[in-house]
Amino acid sequence: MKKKILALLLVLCLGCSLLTACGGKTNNGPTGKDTPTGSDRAAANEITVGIAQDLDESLDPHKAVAAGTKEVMFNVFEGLVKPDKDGNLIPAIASEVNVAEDGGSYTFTLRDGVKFHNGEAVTMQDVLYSINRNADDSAGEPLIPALSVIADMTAEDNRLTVTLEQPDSDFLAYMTLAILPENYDKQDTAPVGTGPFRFVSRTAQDSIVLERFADYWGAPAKLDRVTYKVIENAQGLLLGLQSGALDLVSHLGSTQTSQLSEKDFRIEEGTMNLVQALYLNNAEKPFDDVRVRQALCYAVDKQAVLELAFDGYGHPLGSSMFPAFGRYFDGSLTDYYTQDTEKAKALLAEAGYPDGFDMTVTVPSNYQPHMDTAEVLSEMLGAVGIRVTILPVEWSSWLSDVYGGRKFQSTVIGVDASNLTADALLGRFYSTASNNFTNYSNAEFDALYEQAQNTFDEDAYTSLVLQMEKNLTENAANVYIQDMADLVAVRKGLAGLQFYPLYVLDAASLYWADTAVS
Amino acid sequence: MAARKSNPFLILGGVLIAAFLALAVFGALFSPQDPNAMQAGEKLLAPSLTHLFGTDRFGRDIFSRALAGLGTTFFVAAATVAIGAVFGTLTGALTGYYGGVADAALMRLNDTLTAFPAVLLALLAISLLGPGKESSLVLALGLVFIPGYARLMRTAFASPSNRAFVLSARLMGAKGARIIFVQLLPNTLPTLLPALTIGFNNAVLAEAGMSFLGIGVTPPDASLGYMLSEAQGMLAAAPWYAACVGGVIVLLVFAVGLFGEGLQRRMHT
Repeated sequence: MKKKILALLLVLCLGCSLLTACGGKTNNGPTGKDTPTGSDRAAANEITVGIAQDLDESLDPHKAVAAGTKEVMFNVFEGLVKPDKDGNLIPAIASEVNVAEDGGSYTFTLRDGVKFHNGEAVTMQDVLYSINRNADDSAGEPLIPALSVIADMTAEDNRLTVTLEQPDSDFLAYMTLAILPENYDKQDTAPVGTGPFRFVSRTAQDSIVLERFADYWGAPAKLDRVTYKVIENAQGLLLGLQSGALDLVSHLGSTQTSQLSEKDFRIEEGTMNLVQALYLNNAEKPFDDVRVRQALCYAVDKQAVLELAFDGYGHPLGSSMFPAFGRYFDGSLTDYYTQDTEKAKALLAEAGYPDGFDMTVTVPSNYQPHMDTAEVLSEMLGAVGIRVTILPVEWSSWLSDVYGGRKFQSTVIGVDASNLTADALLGRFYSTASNNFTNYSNAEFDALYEQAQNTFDEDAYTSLVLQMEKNLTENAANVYIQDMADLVAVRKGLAGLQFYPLYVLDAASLYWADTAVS
Repeated sequence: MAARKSNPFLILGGVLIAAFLALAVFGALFSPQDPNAMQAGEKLLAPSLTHLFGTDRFGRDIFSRALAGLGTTFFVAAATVAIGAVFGTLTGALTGYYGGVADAALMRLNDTLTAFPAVLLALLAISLLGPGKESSLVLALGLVFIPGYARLMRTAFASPSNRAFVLSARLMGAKGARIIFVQLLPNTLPTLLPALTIGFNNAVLAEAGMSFLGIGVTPPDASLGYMLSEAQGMLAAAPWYAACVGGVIVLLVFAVGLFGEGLQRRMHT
């Protein structure tokens, strides 16, 4: 009898430990009773946004590389001009921009009364410092190589005149670079800018908190506080929304959004404004052979990828350019390669791989859409004899090994544009560009690119951009797939979400409909 | 020898294991559909006659994938136990039989390995061996399994080493290796066999756990553990996915457990 009781007790203990083990897991996603829910936050006029990856180690806007970092810090920093939701550049720290008739010089008038988050006024010194910091080529390639077009900068009272070597229609887009206070050396950890939100705190791997900047020069943000919560797993993000811990999550998949109740959430659809592709390391065998790359393109059915992994959402692409770029976007390239298994096999045989080969796709495992895409691709490539191994890696090792170290064979990722210049997407395929992580090297492309750098006629430049795009498609630089649909889950009551042609989330326009003064 | 008592554990366990083995080995032949074929129009279908376990979010037949996954899981578990048992038995035999300084040193090393949480140790091994490969997973899990077997087998070898049959073998001039493998090893079987079945079950669960954490079998390969982790994301949309795959794991572990229990009863009667 005693034994039985003991056994029963043991079973009970085991059961308890199992339960707590399961409970422990949910710590990943914010749940539990103590977490304030959506309605609590509506009353406090704040929101919590779920993001799938931690920000760059340094929050210095001039050094940040990850799109996810810019997405958040867009609310903290501003340039002389800044993009609006239609892709136009509107005056920000400069109240007025005058372009000389020949396009050879720009005059910026500093806005009166613009303050940094630390309370200091923005001076001409700060502006010059910020531009020079990005143009400085004393330590190798400058942060923004395109700024080499600046011949001279003269400051007079509150007017800055920038004279260019030659007219450059892209120049203004670079003036979105963040203006930072000159004598401040803690941008890495406690960034200070002029945006509608100021940085409050950051807990690595956990969260980042922004607060409304009371002295903002323009229309103030409507929310008092925005907390970004890092949850590096799609399921955790979903749980966070369902449990009430999160109010808004961008970049969700359709499988995920379909699990959210329509009573609590609204799903808004935009485009991600990035080029999702199976990026190939062009320097690595067998992808150094153009026929192999083309075979891959012929093996893939983009529309089917969208149907299988994205419920049909998304815009198929054929080159490194997405529709938000307007005249630079050549839609006809999308169908340059249509799925043709026989042709793919023939090309592989011609390249010396009649039986296919093994390849590895390195995918950041925190991005479910990319993982799903890789899985669908592996099935399609398998049909032409290419055996795919998917290697899921952490976001940080993806950044350091794949993007930084270029130690990969292929990867599925979305590449965004940091500003609305064609250069932002195409510059990385110039053979010696520091961000040419696919090691693309094509003499014709390089020649076109160099020519474009010295072309200041709008139409001629556009034509060169289109030729570069076509070059990437013809040489199958990568297996281009799509500009992903951006499905954003927004808690009911939260309004004002705006989609930009850039990878940013404008928190200043968001507000709780119930609490907003109308 | 009297007729043995009928042993339902052994019979039922054996039949189930045989069925699983047949499915794992010949599963590809039974498989109603290509386990990797995706169908855009057939996503997340509930179980039906065409799709016994329903379909996953790519429209793949879960039953076919479970069959393929069973093969992977079976192989990983068997290989893991083999590595653990062979190296564990060797270590246990040497240290148990000879004793001395080597025994003390090896056993302290063993203690050190045991002190690490198993998952952590496997994680370390996998990151050293290179993730994403089935062989890494097997080696890592095998490594984690060695200390347990070594400890168990050391005791099994140490206790009878002064018994009469060992002493007489020694008197007859038998060398250490012969004594260990011919005289002692058969005597340790009552300890080893149940440990093998328990180890197999632990390995199945470990593979499931590792793949669940995303460090074991990687897509598009199917394994029961990976499928279960995938199913977790769709608990609301496709509850049958988790239930079916989880059910298969439970049944497999149950079968091997029964078999082990049967073996043990048989040896003690």
